Amino acid sequence: MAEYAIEIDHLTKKFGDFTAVNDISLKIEKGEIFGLLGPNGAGKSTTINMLLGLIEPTSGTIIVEGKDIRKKLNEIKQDIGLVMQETIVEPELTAEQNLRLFGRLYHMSEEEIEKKIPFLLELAGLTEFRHAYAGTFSGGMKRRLETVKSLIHDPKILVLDEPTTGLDIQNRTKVWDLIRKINKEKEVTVLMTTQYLEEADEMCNRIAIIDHGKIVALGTPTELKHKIGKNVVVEVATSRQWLDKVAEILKKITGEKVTTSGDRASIAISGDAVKKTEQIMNELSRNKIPINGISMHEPTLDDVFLKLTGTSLRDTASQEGFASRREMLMRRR
Amino acid sequence: MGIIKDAYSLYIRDMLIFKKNWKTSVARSIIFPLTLILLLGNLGTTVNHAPIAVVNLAQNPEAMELISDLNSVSALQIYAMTNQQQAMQMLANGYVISVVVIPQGFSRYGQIYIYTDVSSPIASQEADAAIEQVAAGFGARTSIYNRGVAINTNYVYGAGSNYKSFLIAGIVIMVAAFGSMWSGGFTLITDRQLGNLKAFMATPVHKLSILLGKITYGISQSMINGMLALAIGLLYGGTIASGYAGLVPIIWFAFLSALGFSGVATALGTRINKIEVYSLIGMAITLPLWILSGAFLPTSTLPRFMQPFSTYNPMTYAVNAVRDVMLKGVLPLSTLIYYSALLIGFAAVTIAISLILFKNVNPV
Repeated sequence: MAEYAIEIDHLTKKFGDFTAVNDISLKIEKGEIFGLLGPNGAGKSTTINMLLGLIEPTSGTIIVEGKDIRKKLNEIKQDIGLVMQETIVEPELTAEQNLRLFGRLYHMSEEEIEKKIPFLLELAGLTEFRHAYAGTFSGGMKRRLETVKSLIHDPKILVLDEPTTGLDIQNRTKVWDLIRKINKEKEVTVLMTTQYLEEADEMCNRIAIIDHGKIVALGTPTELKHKIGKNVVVEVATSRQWLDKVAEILKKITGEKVTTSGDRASIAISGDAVKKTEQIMNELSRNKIPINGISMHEPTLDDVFLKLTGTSLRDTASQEGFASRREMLMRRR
Repeated sequence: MGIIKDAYSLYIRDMLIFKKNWKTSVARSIIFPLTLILLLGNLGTTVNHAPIAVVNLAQNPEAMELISDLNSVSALQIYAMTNQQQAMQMLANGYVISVVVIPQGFSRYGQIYIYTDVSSPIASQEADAAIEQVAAGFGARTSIYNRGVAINTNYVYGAGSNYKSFLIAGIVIMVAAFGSMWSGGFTLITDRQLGNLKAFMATPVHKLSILLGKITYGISQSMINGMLALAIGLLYGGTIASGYAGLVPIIWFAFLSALGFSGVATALGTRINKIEVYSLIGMAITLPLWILSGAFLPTSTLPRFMQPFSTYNPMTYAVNAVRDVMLKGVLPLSTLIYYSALLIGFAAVTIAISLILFKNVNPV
């Protein structure tokens, strides 16, 4: 029996001169919820596409449930259920017809399909919409249908590419609950990509942070936050012209490395955070530097990301993840 | 075979989508041929008013009988005269489209001369056909002199010869051939854009099944459209000279056209990413092919340098076949086999090309 659900080894993908995925290696354990966190353009979707055999890797190997993707692709496809970033439930078909289509594409028998349909609709909370056309569904309903559709053939692994991008809070939570339920009850390994740090933090057993095609950090959310090494992060928001001055002052007072991004300068400190913050504020007002805000918080994944890559995930996150990904692909070609 | 089964599943998906929108789809399928038939069908149809001049130089009872026979044809409007020069002047001025000269000493099996202005091809064909028919019934031999530019061959045949059936044959084949462009190939592109193609390719189905599904869907759409067009045409007044038996070869040739162009449609769909580009290229291919096939004007009226294009155009043969069935009522087995072979060959080539292109289709 294979040890890991998915083993990715030195995987690289180049599109001409552009390296989308740069020598990444991951071992995803069976039954875990694994997150691939990174901004748009980081290489998340490209990695997923290679996992599903839609794109050929330039180099490197992928082994799924012990099978090499170059040799047993069709078997691997049976093991994986995919929920894509694009919502593809066919609006002109009913919920049932949508499910049935994919059941057939996964070579299930008609009896098996008929048995699963009510079960999956129940799981998604869509039982009374069985014969309704998917075009009449709300975004959240479509996503839920999408998610259970990927399970129709009882896959061992569920791959979700940005599952909640574009959804409101309520629907996001519903989708999260659904994923957790599937992971727990059916012991399905989950691999999800996301650009939302709170999603990764909330959902994942382990996270790999990816930026510009490279994995910059790997570990549980707690482990990653401890990478900051300190207890509290102090963040000062100011206008850009004052940013360097602010950074100077922060460094002077605390002696720690300052990271700046956008209109914020942040610093991770240990010891008496309150006292140090007080000192910072005094120094700032003494120098008559106008600030827009100052905050203290426990390290978040964004802070981790900021420290490791120099940019903030928050700055690059977008609601229309799909649209910008398309643009990116167009530019790439 | 698994591939066929998967292709069928995907075909059912497209048909279910069509079924949901069947009202708009059918309306669209009807409007197009209906518009064409109404517009073009009324242009050069059975000529209701063909003025001809009859120069009676014989002045004997047989001549009078011939003239009264001609008069009885409602489509012809007879100007009886005795002065040939005057009659030719009228021809030159365009007052009449034909001049019939009954020479002196005309008898029942004598000869008459027809001078035709073929610058008005359809009308003159009709007029001459009508005159010939009368003359044949009368027993006279005719000799025909042409004026004007175009080459005049292939008169319409038999009673009820009409431009309507001529046109309908062309429309049925056109709709059947091009119906697949706007279904099979088109949906391939929209499926790619929406992400459906990627979703299908992430499943274990073979790429071939996707292609086969689209081709079959294209053919189904073409046949539905083609048969609707035929029904409209027949209701409108077209006729099949060989009666109901004629339906079989018509359906057969419509099917072969659909098959061939389904291949073209999917071949284009595999590589083109934007609908606008596909529409443009689709139009650029279909329109010339349609015109060059003699669908609404006989190929003989095309300029000489274009003639080879119509020879190499697969649609020409389908249109000819259907036209022969509808107008002549007769399609010799050898012709049927020959035309069928050509069309099957065309289909084989286009489908092979789309197969090859599809191997490298880009799902993303």
